[in-house]
Amino acid sequence: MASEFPRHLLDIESLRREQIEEVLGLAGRFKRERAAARAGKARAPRHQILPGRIVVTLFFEASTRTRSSFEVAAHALGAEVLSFQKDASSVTKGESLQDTVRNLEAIGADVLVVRHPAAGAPRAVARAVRASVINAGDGAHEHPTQALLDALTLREKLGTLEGKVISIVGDIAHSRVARSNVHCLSKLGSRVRVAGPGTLLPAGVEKLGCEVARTLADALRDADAVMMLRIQQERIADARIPGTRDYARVWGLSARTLELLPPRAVVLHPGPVNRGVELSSEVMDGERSLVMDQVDSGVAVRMATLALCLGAA
Amino acid sequence: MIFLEGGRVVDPATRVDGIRTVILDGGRIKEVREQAASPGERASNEVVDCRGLLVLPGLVDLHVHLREPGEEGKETIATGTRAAAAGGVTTVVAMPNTKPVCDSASVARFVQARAREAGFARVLPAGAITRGSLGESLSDMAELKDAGCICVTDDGRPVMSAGVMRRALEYARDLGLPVMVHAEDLTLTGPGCMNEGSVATRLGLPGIPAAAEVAMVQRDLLLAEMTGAHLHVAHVSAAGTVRAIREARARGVRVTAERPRTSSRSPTRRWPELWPRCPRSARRTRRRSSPTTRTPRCPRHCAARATGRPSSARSRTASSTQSRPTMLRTAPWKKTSSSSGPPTG
Repeated sequence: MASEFPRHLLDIESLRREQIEEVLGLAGRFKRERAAARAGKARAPRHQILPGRIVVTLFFEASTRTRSSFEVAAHALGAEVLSFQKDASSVTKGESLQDTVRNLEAIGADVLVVRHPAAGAPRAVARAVRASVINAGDGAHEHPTQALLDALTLREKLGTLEGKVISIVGDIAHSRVARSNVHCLSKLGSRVRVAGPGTLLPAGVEKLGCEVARTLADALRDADAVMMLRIQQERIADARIPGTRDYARVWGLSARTLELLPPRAVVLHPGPVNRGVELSSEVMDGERSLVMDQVDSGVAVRMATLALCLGAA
Repeated sequence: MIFLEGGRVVDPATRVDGIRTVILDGGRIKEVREQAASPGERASNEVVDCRGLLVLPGLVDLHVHLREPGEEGKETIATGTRAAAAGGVTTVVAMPNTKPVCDSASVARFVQARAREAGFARVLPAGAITRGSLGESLSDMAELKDAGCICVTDDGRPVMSAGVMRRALEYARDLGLPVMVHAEDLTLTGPGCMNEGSVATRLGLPGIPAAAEVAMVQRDLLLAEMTGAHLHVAHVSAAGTVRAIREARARGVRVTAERPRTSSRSPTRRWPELWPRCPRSARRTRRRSSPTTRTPRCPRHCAARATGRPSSARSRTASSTQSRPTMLRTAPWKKTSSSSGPPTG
């Protein structure tokens, strides 16, 4: 039921399984329609879903995939897109986040898609405005649409997520993708396992409802899919890891370590990939990699999210 | 005269806890007695019905940020002391992390002058340990003391250098000034903003390990032991800190501490010495660990009775000057139990 879907999508943690299934169902339909359109078949008239609505993408951090796919998704639904540029805005003059979004709402925003380096910023925005707010990544808290697109990609590939073992490997401490995925996949019935160097496993992570593996071999054993996370250069500066070479040797997925993964298991990465660090090029470009399919799912999931949050699906 | 009638009067200093009538005359307490106002008194005086209310001596808040001068948008001396008075707090110790920092007599005198103008509560300024609270060189502590500062602290930040802290403790000891510390090893804190653990992990917020506080408290306890200075640990939040302080007190280190209202409740359960009020009068029950402490009592008010020692703490309470808040001057450390008057080290 569209009316049951929350007006804001701030996190996965507070969603119920039926709500996640609803997004995935609608997104799956959009994804098939997009594939059909690319194959030259008749285009489904989806641009009547959000005619004249204004979607503002408000990104306080860099983004390639998330911002572009939200904007393409909004266009596909017939909405207008206002792409807010932080560096060309009055934020540089010291205008607060709350005042910025109140002004954007007064200009006519129906949806604010917010990415911010501070955990909880989208919630603060949602409190300041009446418009719908979609979290496009807040600090190390959550990135709900990423988890939804990962779930869609995996469900299409594995048939179901019930009972599957999904491992997430890398910088769990700083990853909003890991948090959203732990919530999303476990709600959908999967067993989620997280792994990485001890310096990048946050305290009490098992209380999120996941298992913790201490080696790459343990992480990959019996897994149906593995999600590799990006390692950032800052982690070397703050003494979490000695360097990318050491990381690649112990935790990277390469042709050698890929043998630890069961033969039918698939490989995901939310991007951007450090080739040769967490994923070697042969794995990234290999046939078990779903990285580009994830990006394709991203547009469909963001269409579904926009439609559901605005009650238009 | 004004009669406060029917309220429960709790005054640990005179060991009163019961329904009493308090008679005020010209703004001063004239008498505290058991019987209510007589019909004659009723006719000629104002009688305030205090049934169901607690009637307490003015409370002391050791840790207050009045923000003035410099950050009047957050709080001013007038608003902060007015709020204090509304909550029954009549004396506050003003932390020195204002802009500029209270590291000179002029700021200390300014704070007291503004407090007198406002007229809501008594303000006792705390001076900075180091100039600008930068942790590098000592502030003019003698000047600060003369200007009315009752302790020194760089609250808001730790003195990261152990060498500077050692000299600060020695210098403050000779002046009889307690040194209040904001204990936190900033290299362990990093970008942290809350207690490290599963809640921080769930929220995606950087955590601060308890060791950031405990390690710094351990260092300062060693230095306090070495120098004989009075260390006061502000806003204790970790169980390990409580253990460290308890052990240090058992060794005779001159250390007191306080518990923030906002921290978890476990320190008070585990460490009744930190209880900010008298549990006897609040009628809270505690776990009774030994026959000698069968009646719940807080050491601040009842240490002498509990241990059977003559209480220097209590005699200090009675005899000391007006310029020191109760929690600071009644610490029952062992080493000074035979001395009289406030410790000077």
